[in-house]
Amino acid sequence: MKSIYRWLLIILVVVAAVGIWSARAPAAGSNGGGAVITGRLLDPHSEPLPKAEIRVFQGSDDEPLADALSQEDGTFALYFERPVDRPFVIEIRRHHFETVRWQPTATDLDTLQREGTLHLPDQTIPRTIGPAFWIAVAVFLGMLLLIATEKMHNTMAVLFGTSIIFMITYVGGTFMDNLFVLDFEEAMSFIDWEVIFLIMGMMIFIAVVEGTGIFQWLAYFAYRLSRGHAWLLAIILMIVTAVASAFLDNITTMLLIAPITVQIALSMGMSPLPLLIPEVLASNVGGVATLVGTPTNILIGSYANISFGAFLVELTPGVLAALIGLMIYMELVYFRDYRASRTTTSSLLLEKLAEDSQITQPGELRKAGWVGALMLLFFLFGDYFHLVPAVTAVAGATLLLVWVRPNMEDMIESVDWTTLVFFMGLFIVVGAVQEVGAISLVADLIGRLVGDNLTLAWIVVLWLAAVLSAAVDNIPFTAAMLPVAGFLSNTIPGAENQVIYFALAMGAAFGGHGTLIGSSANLVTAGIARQAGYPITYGEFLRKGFPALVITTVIAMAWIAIRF
Amino acid sequence: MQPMKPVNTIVCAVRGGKASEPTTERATALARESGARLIFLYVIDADFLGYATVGRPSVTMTQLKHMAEFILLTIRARAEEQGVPSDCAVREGKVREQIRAFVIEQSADTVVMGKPTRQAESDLFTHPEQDTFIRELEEEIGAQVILV
Repeated sequence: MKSIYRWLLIILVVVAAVGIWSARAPAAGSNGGGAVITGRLLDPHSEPLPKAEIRVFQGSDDEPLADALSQEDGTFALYFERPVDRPFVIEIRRHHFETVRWQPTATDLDTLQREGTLHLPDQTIPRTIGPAFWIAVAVFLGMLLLIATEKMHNTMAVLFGTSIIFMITYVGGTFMDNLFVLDFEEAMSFIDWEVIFLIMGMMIFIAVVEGTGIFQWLAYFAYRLSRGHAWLLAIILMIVTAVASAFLDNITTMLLIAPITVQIALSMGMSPLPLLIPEVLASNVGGVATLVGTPTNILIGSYANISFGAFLVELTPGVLAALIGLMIYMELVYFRDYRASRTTTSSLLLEKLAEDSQITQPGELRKAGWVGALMLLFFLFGDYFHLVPAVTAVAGATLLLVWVRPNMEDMIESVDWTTLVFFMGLFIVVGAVQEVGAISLVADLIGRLVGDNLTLAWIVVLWLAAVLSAAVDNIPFTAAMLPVAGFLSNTIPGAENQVIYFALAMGAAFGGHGTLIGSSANLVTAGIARQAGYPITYGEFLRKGFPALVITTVIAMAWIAIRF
Repeated sequence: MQPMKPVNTIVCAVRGGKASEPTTERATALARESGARLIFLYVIDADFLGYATVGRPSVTMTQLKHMAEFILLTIRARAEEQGVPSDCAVREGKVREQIRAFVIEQSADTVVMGKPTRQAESDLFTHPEQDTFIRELEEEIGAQVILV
């Protein structure tokens, strides 16, 4: 039965994708041989304003003389079937914006009659706040609250939010125009399919890799390398976790490495927490280094068109510095535990450790290694082929599936469709908030706060992201912050170097250190620790994690200041 | 609480960690005194994986099973040091259901488990839940329950 729902979901995704591709913008209008009036509409942030209705009325006529819809670039063209010889009014109407009426001057009318064309100056249309604004904001905040308090699964929460928005738009909007929030076609345009396919491709790749036993082997190798010295083992495990998280999602990394870490700790006669907590903090740090390391980086990279190579070049040194800072901090926090641990263990336990750390699928691992290396090359140099990362991820995953020939039901099961639906729903909810102007308000607020000061801007974004990501899910937070970052990047001199986006990336990731709920990898690790009889309380994590948040964010701040 | 009936098979439900040590010590001592067969039971309840919406569940469960076996190995080693041989078993599913099913399967007459500590992160049961469970084991299955 589960299989049927999964295939239905796949069909839904494909149909939605086809629906977007087949959607065409309405024609701007037909040229009837008469006059033409052209122009461009902008929003208060000087961004193009598409899908605004422009109509021309003459006298007391109810029927428009001409009408058009503004295009994606904000431009419009009004075609008149016959020459215009009398004054007229142009009415510009769009949901969530004020209705503007513009009357031509005598000179404009004269130009139109003489030349048959008139180009209007750019029109900035002010926003308006109505019931739709408050509904969209309430839905977004409600969704965040449901996710943060775990009253609802996060995918269910976004689908709930999406449903409310559509029901109010279509049912409420029929009776009251100012209840219109976002229609289905516009909603689909907010879904970033590059993000969806990039995540899907990486999920399939990870699914093949995780079954090979490589993570467990690496943890055991770390134990042998450290010769049982816990302080050294912690450092090696942090490096392993950070590097793994740079290329694979950190939830999977912790799911695979945490159980064997527990075994190693028990064999050394110590609590697993002095190894698990440094590992999960390192995984939050390592994920920032590459485009595919965290879902937030994938969101940022796609929105701001930042390549895999750019993430690597601009952030990796900062990530390394943050990791070193984290290691020093963890060694100081846990040095007593490390000193008290055993360096030797019984042969029985060692034998069991070795048995559980085998590479179980060496052939698959070798193939995954080759495909992974190829994918890395295309991630790094794909720009030369105009190759988007999503294509690299899906093509790489497909190549691996064809080469490895795993059980397809198993592979389909490993693709987390609920997470993909979560992202789709999230894009729609954030799109609604953006559409009603709430994000613009936040952007204006921050813009007024920082003015033209680029340094202040990225510092504010970095710390806001870090602190808020500790309290709320960093994925919806980042999705909502992207238009704000975009606005700041477009308006502050010098921000073209994308420093604000990089600050957002680091802040959103390092915020995961702050609390147990700061990142899903924290929760998964805590779950495994609790299974083993070593629960990590919220307070325990806060005491260890929050200072780590401060340390790594300060280091990030220093790196960004140096680099940019 | 002293056992009221002859003890032939003891099932000790454990999870590992410091909190389980008194429970395993009590079960070991009881097995040594009575000569009963001792089985340590570990139940993997993977509900927490609801947070982990990626990865192949089968791979994750294998890792958790290895971890459970290792924990049981350390517990059995401690029992061996006290001269008490033991068996162990790992089950997957809801803790209460799996303990109940295992007790029936092994025809166990004694169950040893830990009391709730009032720390939500540590406890598998709350007090009321455990009281209900104990009644179930004692009245329906006829096993005596020793809380540590």
